[in-house]
Amino acid sequence: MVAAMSASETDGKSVDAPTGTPSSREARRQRTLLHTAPIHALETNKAMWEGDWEVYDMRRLQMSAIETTLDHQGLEGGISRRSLSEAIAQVAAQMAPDRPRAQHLEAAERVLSHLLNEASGSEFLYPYQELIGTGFWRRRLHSVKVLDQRQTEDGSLVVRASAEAINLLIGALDVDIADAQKAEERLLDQYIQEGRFTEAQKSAERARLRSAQYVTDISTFLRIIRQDIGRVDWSGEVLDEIKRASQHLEERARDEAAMHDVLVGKLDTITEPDQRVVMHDLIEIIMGCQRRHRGLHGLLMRAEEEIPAEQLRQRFAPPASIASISMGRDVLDPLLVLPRKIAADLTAGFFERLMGVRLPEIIDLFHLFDALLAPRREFPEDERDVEALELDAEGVNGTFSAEAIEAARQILDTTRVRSARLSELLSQARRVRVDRDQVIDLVRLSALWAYAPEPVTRHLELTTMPDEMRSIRDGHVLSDPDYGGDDLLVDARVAEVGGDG
Amino acid sequence: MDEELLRQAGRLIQFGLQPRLHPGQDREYKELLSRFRLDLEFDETVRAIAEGLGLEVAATSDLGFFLAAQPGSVFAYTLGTFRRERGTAASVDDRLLHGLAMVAIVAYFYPNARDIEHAEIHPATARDVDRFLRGVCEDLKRKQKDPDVLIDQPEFEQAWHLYLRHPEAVETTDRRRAQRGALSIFDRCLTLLDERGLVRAQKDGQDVAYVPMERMRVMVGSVAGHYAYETLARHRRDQQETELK
Repeated sequence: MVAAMSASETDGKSVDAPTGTPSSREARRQRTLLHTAPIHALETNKAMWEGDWEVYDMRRLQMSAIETTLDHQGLEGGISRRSLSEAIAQVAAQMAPDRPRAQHLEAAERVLSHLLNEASGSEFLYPYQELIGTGFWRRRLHSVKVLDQRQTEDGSLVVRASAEAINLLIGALDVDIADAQKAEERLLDQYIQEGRFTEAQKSAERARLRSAQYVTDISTFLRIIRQDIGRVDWSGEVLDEIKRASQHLEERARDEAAMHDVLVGKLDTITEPDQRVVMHDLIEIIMGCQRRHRGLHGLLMRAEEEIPAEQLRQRFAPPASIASISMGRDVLDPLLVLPRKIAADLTAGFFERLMGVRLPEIIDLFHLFDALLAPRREFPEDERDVEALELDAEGVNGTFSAEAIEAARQILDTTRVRSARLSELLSQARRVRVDRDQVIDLVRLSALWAYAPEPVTRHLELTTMPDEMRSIRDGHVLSDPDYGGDDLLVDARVAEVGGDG
Repeated sequence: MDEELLRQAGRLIQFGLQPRLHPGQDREYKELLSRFRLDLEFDETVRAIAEGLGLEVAATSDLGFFLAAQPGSVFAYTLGTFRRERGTAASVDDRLLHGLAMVAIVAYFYPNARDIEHAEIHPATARDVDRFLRGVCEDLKRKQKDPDVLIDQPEFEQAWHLYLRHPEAVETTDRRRAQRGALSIFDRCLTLLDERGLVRAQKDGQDVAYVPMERMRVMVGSVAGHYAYETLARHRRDQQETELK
């Protein structure tokens, strides 16, 4: 029953109207063969990619992707897409250590994107023929899932492997998983009893995979039920299935506990280090299975309690179920041919209902900070003309006119005869009629320059100040309508150092 | 009057108003959610209070307690508000384009009924959805014989025509997407959806890929989907009636 459940869940929808799942063994084998098709496809496709991918074994990378996912696949757990990508990249790195890391990552991305069917329309769909009745063939379409992403209770997304993907690792035909698991554990028990530990190791590994497969299968089943609990068939089949799974797990728990005891007992008698390692491994694997099964049993018991209660509730208050609606064909297509106004109303209504509720405004420092740093409001898009500035070509005197330079020189030359304060020089500059501002600037800047002159090649015709001009700062404060600071004492007299202030 | 019951009902509603919170992240939330699903009295109390607040319970699952605001409720977040809050003077066309973009995003994530049922998760970038919508619109253009709108009857312009008129991407000198292009419309919608816990960003860089969250599946599969379906059905009926006259 469980195997059929998984087959119909992963079978997808047939192209023609389904009149019952194909129960013939041949059809099942066909479908099982198809499970390897995605794995081979990627290896074949790599020849068409740009660049040299020869060195990467895509099949091996895909299998390790499934193995890694499985290692993290507890009950509702899985592995984050990023961690999985990193893990695959590392395997790729082992295949091609001299290639750049970027290429390893790209190989990993291609593998993941393929297995997760991320590209639009890239589902793994395979047609096959089914024989029904006497000699009548019908075409069906089988959908294969290898990995998929699921949202967990805490809102994170995890990658999980499907039951069929686990089959790829085990390499077995499609059989009833519960039976297969039981058989494997019985075999394991036998090997342990007989002391055939090498075989036991191999068997334990298969048992581990079967256990993971079973847990995946049942938890998927439970998830489907819980998801749309309003639409599940309440004829009692669901509860029967859960009961059967519970019983299976109880049986497993007993067998595993017994095996555990035997192994621990034997561990005392074995002294060889190699054998002890094997024993420890076996004990670990069995304990892993026990943990997994306990967890699943817990889930099942919870489901057993909640489902009848839910059933009772529905008699009084049928829940809003998730309707299957074809957004493409039934909404987008008709919407696009609506006239503007009606389309606008419809999309507004859809938007509001999709959003659900307005986010409450949370005033706290972080949000305030975000609000302050939010991008500025958009402005209407008219392009504003940027003024092209007209720039005159710079003359040899910069922007200073010849008259201004001459006037400044005259003012500053007076300091050859006697020293003068900057304030005095500036007031003289203010009395100049032509290019007054330029003269003021020249006088001021020259005085400043003279305070800390730097050796520089000078062109005589540019000099506004006498060579020997120096400015001294002696504490007087400049009182000037436009400038502040020190009232420098400017002196261009030669020889006498420490002259009058 | 059981005050504790009322208080807890209020708590659950508060949790429901936080779209990025998940039951797995908060024990109290998880417990209240469980109680809602199993205890009929609690269920009725919560729904009554919610209704009083202008809210309805869209759906519940292990993955969340999903509320929807009734039209006109203070909790409603309208397309107009969205456009006003985020910048431009919202014209009718601007709102229509953003609303259309939202429908297109949802249709891209869940094209078929099966995708909603099975909670399929496939990533999408703004570019992907634009390409998809453009393709559908181009298809319509090919099928229509007389697509150009009469000058004196602009109200008859169909939504697809409006979309194709809009530039796809307006390149700015520093190669960022300008504010006007279709791609920036999708950027804005996806960013909003991310903020509201309806999608989640997966990859970084210029072309961010988003995946749909359970919240989107639920809102589409319940209130939003129903509304669209019924509105379109009503429109079809009205059209048929006018044609018969």
